[in-house]
Amino acid sequence: MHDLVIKIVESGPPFLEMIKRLKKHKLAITGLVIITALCFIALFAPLIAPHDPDKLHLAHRLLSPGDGYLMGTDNLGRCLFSRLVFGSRITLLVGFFVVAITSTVGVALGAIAGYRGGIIDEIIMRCVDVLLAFPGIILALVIAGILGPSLFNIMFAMSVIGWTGYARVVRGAVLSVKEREFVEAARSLGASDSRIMFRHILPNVMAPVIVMATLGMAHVILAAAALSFMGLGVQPPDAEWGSMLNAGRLFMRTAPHMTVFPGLAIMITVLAFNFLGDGLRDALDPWLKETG
Amino acid sequence: MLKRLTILTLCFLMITGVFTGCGNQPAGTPQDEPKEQEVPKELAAVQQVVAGLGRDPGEIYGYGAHPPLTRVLEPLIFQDLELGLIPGLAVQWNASGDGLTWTIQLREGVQFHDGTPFNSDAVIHNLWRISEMSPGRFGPVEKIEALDELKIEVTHSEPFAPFLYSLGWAGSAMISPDAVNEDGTIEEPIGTGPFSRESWTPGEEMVLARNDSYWGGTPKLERVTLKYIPDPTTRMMALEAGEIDMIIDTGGVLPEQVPTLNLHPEIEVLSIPGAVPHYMTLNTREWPFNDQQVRKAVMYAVDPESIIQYALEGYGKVMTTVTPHSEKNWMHGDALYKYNDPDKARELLEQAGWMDSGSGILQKNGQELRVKFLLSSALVGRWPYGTIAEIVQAQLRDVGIGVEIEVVEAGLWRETLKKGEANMSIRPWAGISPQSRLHEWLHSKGENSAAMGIFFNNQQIDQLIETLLMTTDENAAKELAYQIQEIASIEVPIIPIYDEVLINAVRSNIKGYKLHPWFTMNWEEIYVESVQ
Amino acid sequence: MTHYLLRRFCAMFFILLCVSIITFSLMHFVPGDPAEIIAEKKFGENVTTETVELVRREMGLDRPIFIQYFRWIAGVLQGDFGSSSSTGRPVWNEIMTKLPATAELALTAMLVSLVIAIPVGVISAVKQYSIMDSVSMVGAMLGVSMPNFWLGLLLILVFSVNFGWLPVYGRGEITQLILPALTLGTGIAAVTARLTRSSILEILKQDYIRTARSKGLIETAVINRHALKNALIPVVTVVGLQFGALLEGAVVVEVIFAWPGLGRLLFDAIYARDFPVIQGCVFLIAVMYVIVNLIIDISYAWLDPRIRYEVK
Repeated sequence: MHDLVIKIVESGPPFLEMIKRLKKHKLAITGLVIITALCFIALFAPLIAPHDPDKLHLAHRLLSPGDGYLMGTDNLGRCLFSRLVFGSRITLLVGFFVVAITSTVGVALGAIAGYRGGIIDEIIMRCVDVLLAFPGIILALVIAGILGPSLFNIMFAMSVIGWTGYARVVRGAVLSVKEREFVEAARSLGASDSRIMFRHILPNVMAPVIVMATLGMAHVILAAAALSFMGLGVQPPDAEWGSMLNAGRLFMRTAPHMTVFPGLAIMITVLAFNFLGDGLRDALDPWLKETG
Repeated sequence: MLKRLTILTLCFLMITGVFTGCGNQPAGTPQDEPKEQEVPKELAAVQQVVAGLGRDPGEIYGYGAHPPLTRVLEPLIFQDLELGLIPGLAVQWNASGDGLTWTIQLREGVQFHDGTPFNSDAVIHNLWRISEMSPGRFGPVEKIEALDELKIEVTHSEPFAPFLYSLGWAGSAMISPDAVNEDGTIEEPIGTGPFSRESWTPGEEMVLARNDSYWGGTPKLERVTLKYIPDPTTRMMALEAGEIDMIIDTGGVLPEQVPTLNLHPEIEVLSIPGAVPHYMTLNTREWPFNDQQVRKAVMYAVDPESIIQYALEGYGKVMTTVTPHSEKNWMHGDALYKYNDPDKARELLEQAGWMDSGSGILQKNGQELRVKFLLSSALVGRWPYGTIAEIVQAQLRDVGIGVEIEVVEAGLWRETLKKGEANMSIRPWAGISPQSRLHEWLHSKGENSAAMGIFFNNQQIDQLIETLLMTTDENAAKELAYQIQEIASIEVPIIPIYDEVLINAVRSNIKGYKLHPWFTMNWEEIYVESVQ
Repeated sequence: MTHYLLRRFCAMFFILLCVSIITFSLMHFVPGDPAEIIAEKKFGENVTTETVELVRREMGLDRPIFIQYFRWIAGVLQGDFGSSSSTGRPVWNEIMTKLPATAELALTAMLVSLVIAIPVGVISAVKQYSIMDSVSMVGAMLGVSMPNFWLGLLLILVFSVNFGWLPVYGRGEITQLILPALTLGTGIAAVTARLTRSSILEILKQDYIRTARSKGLIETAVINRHALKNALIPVVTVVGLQFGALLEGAVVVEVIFAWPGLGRLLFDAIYARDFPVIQGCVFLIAVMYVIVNLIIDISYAWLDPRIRYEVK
């Protein structure tokens, strides 16, 4: 995760200005188009997939792309294209879930720490420091290894550490926003804490969170693939891109389509999120300055 | 914008092109004429081999050297390629008329690697050490005595028929008494084999050095390096690139890799039926497999033939009884287990009161017929259990049984099975002897019954097995073994899925290697031919 | 500065204390009886209850958990992490024999990432919004977007099996280091490239660069002499932050290339349920992580005095 330091402007990023800047960033638009297409594919998977993704058709195993199957079949004769289409659901679900949990928890705790300060701040930030001492995948590996690799455990394992980055950034942002005139003004007008938080502070700190979440998606998808490689991924027969890629490893030479397509699917998706994240970072540049 | 998208697409296409290109192009050049084979070859000047395998050969059995793979340690009795018992460190053995007393004559002139003489004292020390570590390994031992320097006598309180097999088991290897610490642990494996352990770097490699004074003659190889390469694809590619000379061990070469290896004229793929059958276990204590009808339905629903063809690329043999082909003298001649009859399976389930609820999964008393198939991640990494489980899942689904597959880490797997919290599983089982195999799997106190969560409890079979263990007359024993196998196929607590076919691969300048069903390495006979 | 350092060291000790507690308790979250698991590792799958009890007493697992913790931490402070339940060797020795391999791999990978990232970052900054910008950034991002294990296997396939240029696996020769370092390095190059790019963009806006340009210096000279030097200061500092990413990636890369490092040790230990090794590895990695972070923070504070005041 990258730390971001925020330069705050009074009113937060005007949406239209941001879109305008984003449009200049062609790669980000490419990323956005790809991600939208993926969401569409995941949503309408049953309509798009020509075959049942889990149905074994042993006589049709290891067919090359073309022979009646768009992307060929895997070692159990399942349509690779249909599995990729349905796999997008699990891959995106894992990504969205982990990012949603980590960003929500991170933003909430970071905001509380920054806004309240004092002992609460101290406790939360020391937790963050402690958790940050563990490299993410390594702790995830230990957790999934010990608890068993269910979809839930995998998502849990990846969330345990993930929130800390958000908390750090949000806390820093809140600290600098809460001293601003407009917050002071709201407070002197008698606004409640929650109103100040939701109406005045949070909108102003969301820019880095959006960037982090976008880049976080890319990170989680790769981490899930790494866990699959270590035998702790999503369980069969569920199609998940990482586990499909891993299953195709043994056929890398004789049936290369089994690794090339899931591999490309992961690569393109991760690239798309990275492009979008980068573009957003550039587009939000007046509101945030990157330090690393 | 469009321009950039085009560039982007081109990038992707190029990458895809490179990758698929690499995939389709077989490495090496098969069209090279291997004419030199006719030229008589000579021994290579340097007699060394590097062998790759998928596990650390030092971490198994706690001896710091896996006996069959390293041959640092040897048992008293060896098994030939047909698994017949042949003299090893013991040259002769016989039992008394009542089957209670065994006299064993030891080989003369044998020394441990540290120079300690191999004699009756050393053997007795070892037998007691092993008995303490794993009670019952050698049966109900009453006393062990040295009759002279090279002759011992073992007395049992009751006849113990599988005694000789127990002595031949890899885990019963002889270790120099000086190498054993007081608490029974062993740091340095000091044995009598053709090679001694020169060094071991855990997780990396083990180097074996020639034992010049080996009792079976001086080996040709000077040095053997065993490389632990965990990833099977890397392992195969290391052989292709010539960085290792052979891939050994069970699960060394995976069936899916054979077509790729066959593209190389300089690599020879070896395979033989192994002594490792694989069993699917059913939890007979808990619903729904506490009903024998349901268990039988599972048997009829699965089709080992298709598993062997599609998950093992043909490298396996269908088993029709719990006793594997490697114990062919003990194997029931009839096809006791009957497979691939989904109609029969559906019929049995219907008789047992299971109804189709419309969802495709059968129902009884409002409960859907869904079971949990638990796999160990450690085993999935060495055998294609994941694929097998998916095929079984599809075949059971076809008759209306819903299967949920779960792969967990090995410790959790054992724990869950022991508690009876899974319905089925699968594991390989080598088995010390034909008799003990039946005891381990089918007796209510057999070690796999509880450990694998089978909980099969059948008084008749218990009695037959107990009698079998004490029956020294071969014909009577086989009769009993047949009866036990028949009952097993009727009660179906376990379903034998396949007998493994071992696959190893060597570069063709490595000569003299004979693949053994126990993957025992004949290092003393292997040599390197010079490449011209 | 002294006040700042003192504060940071106190914080570090607190963090390490918590890290040690978490690491230690990992073992006690595991389903099943640790004594039985250890006994099974040591004496085989079917141990008797007596053996399990013996192991429990020997290992002190019958004591209250906080006493067990104190015994463990007291050992750790003296460099005694117990002994591996798989090999029986002291965990400390096991880790120390693997550490150089991982350090070697990580440092080379870091070098690889810089070699890729700095030119890419400079080019894309100088030619911002051009095709060169997009192409070089996409190029850098390809590496980070591919699952590590896939990239590694493809590299072996191409460079070792097809061309026979580089060894497939193992450690020892310098050539054996190239492929693993490349796999690991490309995985983090994109982040550094992005940072170099934005850092240079920032600097190019500065007055002195404008002056240099107005003096008529040609572009390359401006970049080389003025911009790059200043832009790289934050880059170099931040490279240290990627230490964690490198360690994470090392697990996969070490398995693929049979590289005998810390990642492999941990991976094998997890599969073997070798708790002393898992605890030792996780704790040591965390300690290294904390120390590296501390060094980075201190160097930041040293470079930029404002930070020191903020902390107060």
